[in-house]
Amino acid sequence: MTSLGGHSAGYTQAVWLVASLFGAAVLVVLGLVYRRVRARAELEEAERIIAEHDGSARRVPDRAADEHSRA
Amino acid sequence: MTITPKGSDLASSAHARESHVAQLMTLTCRGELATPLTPAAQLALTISAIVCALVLSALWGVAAGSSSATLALANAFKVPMVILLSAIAALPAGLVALRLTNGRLAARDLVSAFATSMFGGTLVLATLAPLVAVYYHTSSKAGVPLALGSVFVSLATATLLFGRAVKRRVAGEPGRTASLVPVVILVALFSAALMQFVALASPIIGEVGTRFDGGFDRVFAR
Repeated sequence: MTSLGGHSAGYTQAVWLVASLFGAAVLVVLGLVYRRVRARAELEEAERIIAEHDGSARRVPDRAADEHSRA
Repeated sequence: MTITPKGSDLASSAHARESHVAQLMTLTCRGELATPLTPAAQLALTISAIVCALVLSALWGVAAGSSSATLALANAFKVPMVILLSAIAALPAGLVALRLTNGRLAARDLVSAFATSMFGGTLVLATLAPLVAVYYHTSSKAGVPLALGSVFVSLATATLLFGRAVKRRVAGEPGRTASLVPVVILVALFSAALMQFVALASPIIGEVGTRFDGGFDRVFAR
């Protein structure tokens, strides 16, 4: 009995098995990359919030000094 | 040191806390997020989009194979794997096309848009899954055509979403037409790979099978 491309059904099944294993391996790699990238994204977000907080904290004394000098 | 975010900080941290699924829905509906993501956050969202797409396609697989418990269970693995393998087969050509056409789009933006459109397409598949299951069990005429039709509808949706996402990212930049070439190549190669992987993994839709179970040779047989 022939299957896809004139190959036997066993051959087609073997190709599907190899492709599935490759897909599963890609999923595992994606999982590992996700763990690393998620941690980096959280770190970047924390750094951004700290930078914004520092920026706004620096702006408040500047504005107070301006108002004081104007008075 | 304790930092209590206020005002805009609070809004941005709320955005950061927004779940990936919510961000993906925003991307699918509006085409872009309110604030741009960092490269790491974008990659995390891309991987989430792929995983969500695989889960959604598994739902459709179970519905399409609900004629027997064995086929339904097998489809929960086969359909996501077919979509993942087709995407893996098409991506390198899309990235090479992006470089060759000197498109004004970063490779990670193309991959991200592709993953998000896959999510959108499989979302359509999953929403049509109950209808596919009901018709498969209650109609001998409409069951298989409806299942096949849902696949084509989801492919068309994903293509439109992909085109829109790339168009928005290159809006206002010179040579933006060149960035659409990889979109066409990616969609064409994804469809071509999908056809053969469906044939490899068949049967998927019911026990009877469809014309697509024979791959390219049977679809285009004279």
